[in-house]
Amino acid sequence: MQKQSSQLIIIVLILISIHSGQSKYCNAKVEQDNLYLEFEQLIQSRQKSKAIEVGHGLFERLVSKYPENASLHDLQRRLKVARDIAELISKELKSRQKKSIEDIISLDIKMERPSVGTKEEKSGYLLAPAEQLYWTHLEFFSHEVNIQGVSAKESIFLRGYYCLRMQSWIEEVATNVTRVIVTNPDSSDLSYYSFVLPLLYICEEESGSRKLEFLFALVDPGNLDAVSDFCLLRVDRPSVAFAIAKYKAISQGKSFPSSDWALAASTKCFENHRPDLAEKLLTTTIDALGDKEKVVELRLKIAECYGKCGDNVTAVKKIKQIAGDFPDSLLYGKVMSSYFAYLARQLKAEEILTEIDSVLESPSCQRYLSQLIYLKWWALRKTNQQILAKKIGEQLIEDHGRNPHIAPVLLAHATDALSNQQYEKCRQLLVQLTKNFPKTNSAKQAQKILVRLGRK
Amino acid sequence: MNIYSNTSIWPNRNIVGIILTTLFLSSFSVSEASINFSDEIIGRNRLVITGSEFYRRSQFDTGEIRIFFKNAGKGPISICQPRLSRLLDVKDNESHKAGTEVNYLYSKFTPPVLMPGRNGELLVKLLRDPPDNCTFQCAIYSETGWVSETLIAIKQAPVWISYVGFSEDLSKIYVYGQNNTKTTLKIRLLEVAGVNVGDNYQSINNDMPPGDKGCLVFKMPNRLTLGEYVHIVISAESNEKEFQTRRIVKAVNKFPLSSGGGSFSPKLGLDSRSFFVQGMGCPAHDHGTHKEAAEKFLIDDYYSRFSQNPCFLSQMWICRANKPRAWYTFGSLPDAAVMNPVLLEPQAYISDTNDCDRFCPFFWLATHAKKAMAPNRYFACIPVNPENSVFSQSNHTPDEIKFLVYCAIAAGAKGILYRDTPSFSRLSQDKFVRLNRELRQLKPLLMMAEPVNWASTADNNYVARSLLCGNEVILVIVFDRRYFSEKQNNRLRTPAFGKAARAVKTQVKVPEGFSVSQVKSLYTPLLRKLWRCEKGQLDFTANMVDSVQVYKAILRCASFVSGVEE
Repeated sequence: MQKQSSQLIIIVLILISIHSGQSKYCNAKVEQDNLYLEFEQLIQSRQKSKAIEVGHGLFERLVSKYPENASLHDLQRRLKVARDIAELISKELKSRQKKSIEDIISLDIKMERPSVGTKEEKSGYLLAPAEQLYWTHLEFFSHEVNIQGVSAKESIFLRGYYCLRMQSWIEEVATNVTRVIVTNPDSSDLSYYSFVLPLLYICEEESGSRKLEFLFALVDPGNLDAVSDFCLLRVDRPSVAFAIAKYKAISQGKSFPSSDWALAASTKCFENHRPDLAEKLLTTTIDALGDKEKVVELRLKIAECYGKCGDNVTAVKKIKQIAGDFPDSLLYGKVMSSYFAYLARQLKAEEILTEIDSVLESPSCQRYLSQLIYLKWWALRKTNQQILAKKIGEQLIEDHGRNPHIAPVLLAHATDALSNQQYEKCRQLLVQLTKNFPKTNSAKQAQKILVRLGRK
Repeated sequence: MNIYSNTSIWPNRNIVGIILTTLFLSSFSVSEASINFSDEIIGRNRLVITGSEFYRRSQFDTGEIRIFFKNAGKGPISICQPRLSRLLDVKDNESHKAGTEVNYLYSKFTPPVLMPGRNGELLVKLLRDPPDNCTFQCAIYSETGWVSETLIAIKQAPVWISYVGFSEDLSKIYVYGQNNTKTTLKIRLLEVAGVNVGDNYQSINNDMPPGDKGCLVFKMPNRLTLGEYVHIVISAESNEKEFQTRRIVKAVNKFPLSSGGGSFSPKLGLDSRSFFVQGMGCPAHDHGTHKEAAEKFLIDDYYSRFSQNPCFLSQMWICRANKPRAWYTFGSLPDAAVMNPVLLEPQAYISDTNDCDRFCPFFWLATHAKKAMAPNRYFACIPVNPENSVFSQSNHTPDEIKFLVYCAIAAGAKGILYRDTPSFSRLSQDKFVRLNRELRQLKPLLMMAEPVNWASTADNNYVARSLLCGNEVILVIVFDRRYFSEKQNNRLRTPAFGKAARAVKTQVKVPEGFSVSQVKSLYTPLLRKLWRCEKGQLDFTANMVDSVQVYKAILRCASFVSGVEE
């Protein structure tokens, strides 16, 4: 009897404990659900600091709840990296702001201090360049935030919390940058730091630039171009560069044709030895174009970008592809004359001679005949086919006497005459050269020879 | 410590000295008969020869002889000239036949006025390569005529003082020796500026393998003065044989960072003034023959030191980037020289057989320029805009400029002079300013740094070079080899590539008796898990974004030496 009653008591106790456990769990769940709700409401009511506080507690709970969840750990690491970057930049910015304010206060005695250039950096570390901060932390942000192994509600919270924290750090850095620039306009180079975290934040999103428009508004309009260039040339983010340029144009009430921007940006790219980036920009523009001739023009510009950066091999390759793709283009002649010009830059005379005759006969190349014949003449001379070269040269002088391409031909014929002691012929050719094409390099050389001839 | 501090310099006598020098220089070229001067001017036989050596700096160098003296007399000496002749059939120091007279390009007496009790050196730059293992007889003449003579074996000195650096406050001296033998050498510091150092110095990499360098660090009892002549004596020991070498160097704690063209702009982070003064134009042109140019420089230099400032720091530009022999011809003359990179052509560096100096032609140029000056200073002239040189015809990007600057630094440059003020976009200017900020932060280390071949990478697309900064730091510079890697039409250009961070495994030798306490980039310390120092080797991962990344390995001495540590 006693045994039965004690078993009953144990069962009752177990049932009570299960019930209390269940009710505790239910209470905790309700409490957590309430906190999620509160978090959402705080975000909606824009009480960011309170939302961060609540969100932080919830986030820590989830981290403890799912100790083995790799995607959660990835998010935690991402947040830590973002916080470290924000703290690093803000620390430097605060010390700069303090220094700027001190400089303003002590302007009178500043004149007696040594000039900036002579002062050595005494601090232990320099602030890493904005692009360095971007590139060295990119791997943490280069993939999409993909939280798995949690409930749908938790997943929504985690995504919201991540966005909230990132935005708060972005705003903190941007505000600090603005403060420093206000106190010291010479620090405008710091604008780039405002964009490190945002660029990492929207890393995986193609249309993420829209999220950053609040940030564009914080940048001084005078600095927007430099920031756009920074995004284009230092961190290879043309879509953000485009968005900044567009924001600037629209805020100034100007129209913003994207193809114009792409052309201007591609010029900046090759000026900075980045023809690959110029190609990327122009290819995007080409894809949106229907006009065949415009496509040829832009593809030719891509080739020229490589050529202007000294990469004649790629330039030739690109032009050959254009010629193959658009043999009936109105620009075919221009394409082919560029092709042979880049071959000439590589001193490929044999290759020019193999291909140029068929091009010379093409009706679409007649506008560029003088340049093409000149290139043939150059290739013949390079391959020591002097008789043929002389014949073509004379034809060129006769048919295209006003074209500057014949200046080197005239010079070569004059030096040939000189070596054959035909001084009068030499003089005539040199005079013709200096008179008709005075600004060419050949004319400068001709002038020197004329002086020497005058002494004879 | 200042040799001029306790002795008055008589202006009239100085002018006399200059005139006498000029006369004396010309007397050798005219006639032997005019050598005799009055014994009454200064006493006789006061110069005691304390040592001599021969050294050829590279395959482009004809070689030089250095003879070391002490002024044992009572008055100052300002004129000292050698007469060299090659001995024939030398069996020992006693038995030989008198040989032919050997012409030399110039001789330089340092300091120009040697006070009583002080040490000096006479550098004789040879005109032609002497045959190996021959013997020269060197007779020394002062104002009063013949003083002494010595025999010099034309055999590479076993140890060479490659650089003498000073701390920013001129209280510490860093003497670097290079082992030129095929066996391990130990070096010891014996004397600095008249102070017998005893054991109160610290040595780094003391057991030097062949070709390697070691450093000797000494804290001076009193601070030196900028431009002061400092006499240094070190000894090298190998297989129980001892060799002593000396050097007279000027105490310098300046690392100029300036622009050759345009006006000074504090915004660019450049120095507002230079302590080095350009006395004459490039001696390779417009000054007659090399001999005449050298004589002009020496007379101008002599005059400048007396009429303006005894601690005057002279600088020279040498404009023959395509002729390495010119660098070695004039390198020993000034306190510092700038090598103009214009006209640097592939032929010059392709002819050099030493592959390791050729990862970039500019590094090759800087390495030779440094060798030509050592232990004096080489300042790098950085081409910024298109030049008639081996580099591409388009303007250099800030990344390319950074690459060239650190090539020069890695080779041992002690100053950076941009050839022009670069005309950049705002974005590029920001990068240029950052580079100068980095250099300003590095200046105190660079003033004491000497290149050592201790660093390497596991990735062939990157190359690492190292500089030993005394007992404090090993500076590791990692280069992205893609810069200036493509050759088209005989010019070097950088191919286009997208940016990305790349991890490059890097190894650095750590000298015996030292470990590494921390590894830092210029921006932040590296996390402890990212580097490891074991068995005399540091392994770390360089995070490459730019053309160049610089790291500091902070050295920690295993044994505390009281004479050096503060």
